Amino acid sequence: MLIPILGLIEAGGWRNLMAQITARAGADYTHLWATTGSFAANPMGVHWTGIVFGLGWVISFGYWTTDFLVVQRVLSANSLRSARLAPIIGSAFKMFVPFFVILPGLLALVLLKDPSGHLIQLYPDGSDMVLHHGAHSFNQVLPLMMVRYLGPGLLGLGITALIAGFMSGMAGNVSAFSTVWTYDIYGAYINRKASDSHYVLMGRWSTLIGMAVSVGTAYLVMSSASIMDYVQELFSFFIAPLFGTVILGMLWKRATKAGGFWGLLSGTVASVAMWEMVRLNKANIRFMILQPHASADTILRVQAMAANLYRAAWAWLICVAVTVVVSYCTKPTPEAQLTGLVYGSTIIPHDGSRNIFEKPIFWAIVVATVLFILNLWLW
Amino acid sequence: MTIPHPVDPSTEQSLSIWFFVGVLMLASGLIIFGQGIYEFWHPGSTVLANLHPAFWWGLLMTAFGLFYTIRFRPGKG
Repeated sequence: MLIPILGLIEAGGWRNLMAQITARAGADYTHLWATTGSFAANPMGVHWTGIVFGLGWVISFGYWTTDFLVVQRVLSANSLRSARLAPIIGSAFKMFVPFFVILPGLLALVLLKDPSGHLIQLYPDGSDMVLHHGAHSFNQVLPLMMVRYLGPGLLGLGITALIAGFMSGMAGNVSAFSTVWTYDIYGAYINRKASDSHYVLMGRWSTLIGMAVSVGTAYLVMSSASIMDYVQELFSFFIAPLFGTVILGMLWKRATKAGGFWGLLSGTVASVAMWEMVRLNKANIRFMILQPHASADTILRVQAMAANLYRAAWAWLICVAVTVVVSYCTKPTPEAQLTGLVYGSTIIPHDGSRNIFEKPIFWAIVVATVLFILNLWLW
Repeated sequence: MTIPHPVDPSTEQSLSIWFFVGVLMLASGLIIFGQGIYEFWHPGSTVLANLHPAFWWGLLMTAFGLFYTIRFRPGKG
């Protein structure tokens, strides 16, 4: 929190910062939506449809509802009201993440200077300038800003906070991996009759193996432009179609097992196929962004991140379409078997809210209003 | 058959997670606050060191840490 606060003081306030960024890098660095009217008008090469449908609808909702790292926290809630409030509280904090993650980057654009007093030019990781000429990469912005403002004590706290954040995310993911493997795969399909101590042992071993696998995947990230690109790629392969399956399975009584299976499989396969198509020839991206006559310049501008958003939207759509078609072609599940599983067939108990301030819906509206205001402000 | 309770329930207490949050924040806050006071006489070479961020941040963390440590201390019920 100190870095954006001190950075804003040094830049002379929000207005001065925006003016300096516009002068140095252009107005498209200071707007969320204004430059998303065309693929060519923003650095990511994305249209607002990709952000709204790919990121806003599919990837975000998928992350909040199907990523076990998030879901396990809700499952451990001690009441229905707490479970409902958990993602709302999480979303409130999540809205302020850009102020700690993106704002330091924007501040660095206009504040970081070399010893001769010139603004530092930042380069992508692995570029020739970074590797051979001692230039700084975009990923070094936060450490550079920390060293700039934080002295002894505060710098230690900042580094500890960063490492604690990594460890917390890592621990959550490893425990999610161990739980899903032990309960949902090993205990459900491979060895159903083992003792509790056996499952505990399996959980411990899968934790160790999960850590080794996650270390191994770090090498895969090296082939992507950034960790974020890599994560979004995986999200578009797995989370996006899974969200289609989950949302239909939760809300639509007519969905069947076969529909869910084939929908999920076809969504995932289609997503990987789209990725491979674009990897082989980037010009193929024009079909994914529904611009079959796109110019070579537009195609060049569409970054991997933008492609991830469109791929996710298509994967979700394909999964939903296949699930619906296959479900209608197969025998419906009797309603009695859907009790407790599907929204319309389940009696949901009162969550215990005694007044409006205890109702999750009230806080959901508050969060949505703040989100709307933030988007309008940063339009 | 009843399973014997490992701890006498009449003396059993639960420690709030917020107590640990408070203690951690208090410990870090005091260290940074101390460093902040030291920097009044030995200013650091960081940008905006004249605003004494360590002093104010340490003070803020100490205040929050104290509040949580006292509010959720063991035995308060």
